[in-house]
Amino acid sequence: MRMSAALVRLYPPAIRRRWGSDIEREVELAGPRSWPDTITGAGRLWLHPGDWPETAPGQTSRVVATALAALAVALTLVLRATGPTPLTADIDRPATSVWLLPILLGLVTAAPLPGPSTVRLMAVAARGLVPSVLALTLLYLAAYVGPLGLPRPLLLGYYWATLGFVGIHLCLLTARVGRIAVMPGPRRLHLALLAIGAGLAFAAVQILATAVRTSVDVGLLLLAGGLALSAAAVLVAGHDVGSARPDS
Amino acid sequence: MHSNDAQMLVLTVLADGPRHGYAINTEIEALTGNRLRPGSLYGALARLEARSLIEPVTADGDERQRTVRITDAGRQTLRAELEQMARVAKAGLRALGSAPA
Repeated sequence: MRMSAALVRLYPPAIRRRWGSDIEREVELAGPRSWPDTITGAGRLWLHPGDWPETAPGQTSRVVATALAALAVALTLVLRATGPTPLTADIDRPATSVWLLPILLGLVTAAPLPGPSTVRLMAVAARGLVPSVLALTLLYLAAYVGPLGLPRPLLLGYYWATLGFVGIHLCLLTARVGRIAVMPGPRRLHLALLAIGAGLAFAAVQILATAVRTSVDVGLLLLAGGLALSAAAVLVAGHDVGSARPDS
Repeated sequence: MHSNDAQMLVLTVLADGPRHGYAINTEIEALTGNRLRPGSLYGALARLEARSLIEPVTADGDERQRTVRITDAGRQTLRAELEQMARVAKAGLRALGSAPA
């Protein structure tokens, strides 16, 4: 794939559809010195969903909901990879899981509603879940049977490949469901993004507070930084969605 | 270039007539000596369209080269901005003229 085409793929779908070929042409004309601006331009547009032209009905909500699903998947995988952290649920200290509440509230708020095509929606959802359920069942069976003499790196690779596969399919499922279901309007999306952003910010603060009390852990600080950046991005996008269009 | 500057340049070029992205940038190059980078140009176009200051000429036109035009609101915004810039330029030139060389 040419670099210009790869850079265009960084842009939100509506921008790609409206301006994709023009952007590609400009990048080819300007050469490598235009790449940083093209990348930052894509980043800026992802932070401003209110600027996306609606090239299909409900497209902005569908894309934002899918992006939120991708963020939730990425967060889950990162937390799984880092092992026990100050964010890990502890039954003796339920307050450590408070950060999760606004995020779950936000995801529920942004969830698509069934609408008139309930049967079709359920069929698409069921079909979309089949690969994930099969992959997780195989993983469970593999864990139940045991390593069978296979090397540990191979088993670890299989484990993470399965989790990645399931995560990607959940994002695809969100995008497919978004074509049938009733997607959240700007107000609901605004509230959802603010709740998720608040949860991520709370999680970052919780990690930093723990890091200050205990010894400095570079991994934890990186995790806190990543969460803080994600929180800032989600809050900026939420503010933009709330201010860009009238409620519907 | 600042995003607001890019938006002003795009509006200025479109005040002369509808154009597609590449033609807008060619006019900007003729005006300023530099083309806008793709991220700045298409970010400005998206922002201006979201603020209803420009609009596509046809909703279902050629997807490869989307032509846009300035709206009435865009003309009003451009006029207000240019008048303000003219006032600032006049004050600056007056101050420079009165200052010792």
